Amino acid sequence: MRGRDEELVRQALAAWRQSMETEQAPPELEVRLLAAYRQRRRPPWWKRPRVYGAVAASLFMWAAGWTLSVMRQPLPRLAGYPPVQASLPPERQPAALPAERPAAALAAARTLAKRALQRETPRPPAPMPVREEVATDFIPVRAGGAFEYGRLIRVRVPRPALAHFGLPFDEDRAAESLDADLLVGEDGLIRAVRFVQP
Amino acid sequence: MAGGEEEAFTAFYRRWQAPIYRFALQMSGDRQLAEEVTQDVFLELIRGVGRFDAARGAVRSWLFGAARHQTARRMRAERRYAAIEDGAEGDTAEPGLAAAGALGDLARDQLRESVRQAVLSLPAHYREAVVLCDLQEVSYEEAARVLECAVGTVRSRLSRARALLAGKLRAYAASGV
Repeated sequence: MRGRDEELVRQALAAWRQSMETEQAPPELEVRLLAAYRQRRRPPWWKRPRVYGAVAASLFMWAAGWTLSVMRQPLPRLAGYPPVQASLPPERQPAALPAERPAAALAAARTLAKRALQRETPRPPAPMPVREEVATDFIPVRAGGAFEYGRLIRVRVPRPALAHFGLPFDEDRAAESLDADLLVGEDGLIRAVRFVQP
Repeated sequence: MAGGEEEAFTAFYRRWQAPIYRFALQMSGDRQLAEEVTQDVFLELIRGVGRFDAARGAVRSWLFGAARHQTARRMRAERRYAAIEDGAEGDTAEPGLAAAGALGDLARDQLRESVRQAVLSLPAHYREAVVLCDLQEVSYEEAARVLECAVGTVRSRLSRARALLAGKLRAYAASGV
């Protein structure tokens, strides 16, 4: 392009540029952009503290309701041990309770029972609902000789069995039964018994 | 402004809205589109002000760059971005504008309209160079940053664009537009 043509093109462009110097965006655009700017400064809804509060309150209410509903449900009946029906042959039935129980035998029975319990629970038992039980002392039973270890078996026995071991019982409830823990030696013979009242 | 002061944003907008609006208007010839482009550029600034890196160039380069992309996007959507074929019009065989006295024959309003039409009919990459360097009076170096090309490329595009404009103006003068 010739130099003079170029100069004239520049002049034409300058004329257009000058004519456009007053051109600018409409004023309402500034209003819209300012609104957008203010909107940007507001955190999005999921970042607002009020929303956090509402969510936390909802979660708390839900958790509280769930806990209450669980607490109102009846607790399942969990026996400490499965019921076992003890049936001993006649020759192994415990002898009649002696008139007097030597304290030494009673202490030995307690020690054996404790040992048996320790051996019986090599692992910590699973947490279970605590249930208060009232139990008699272990009553030694003359059956078998010395034994190294034993196990504890819970059985359900008729209430008159209490009288068999010299314990009082209500005759009006003779038809009922109650729990009893039997300390059984390694030879299968019962060494001691205690009665449990749930 | 990154701190969020509203007054700072208002001052910034008032400082830069007119050049951005005029750039989009000169590129497209459409006031509605120019307004939308201006809005988009400043919205982009509002939403992503952290992305502006002062070390990479001046604010004006960033704004023109954003305006360029927004204009191209919108014009492409309206199928107005493509213009005449590059090199479709030569200037070497034609008699010069001055020789023909073409510019002198055009009234001032006619001249503005002829230039406007001539610029709008340029291919987009030539038009960008003319609008930035001749109408917005941006330096070649800054234009190169905006157009994401070398300075030499800007110079050659500008030279070619002016030659095409001369040919177009000659044609308008001859047809009496």
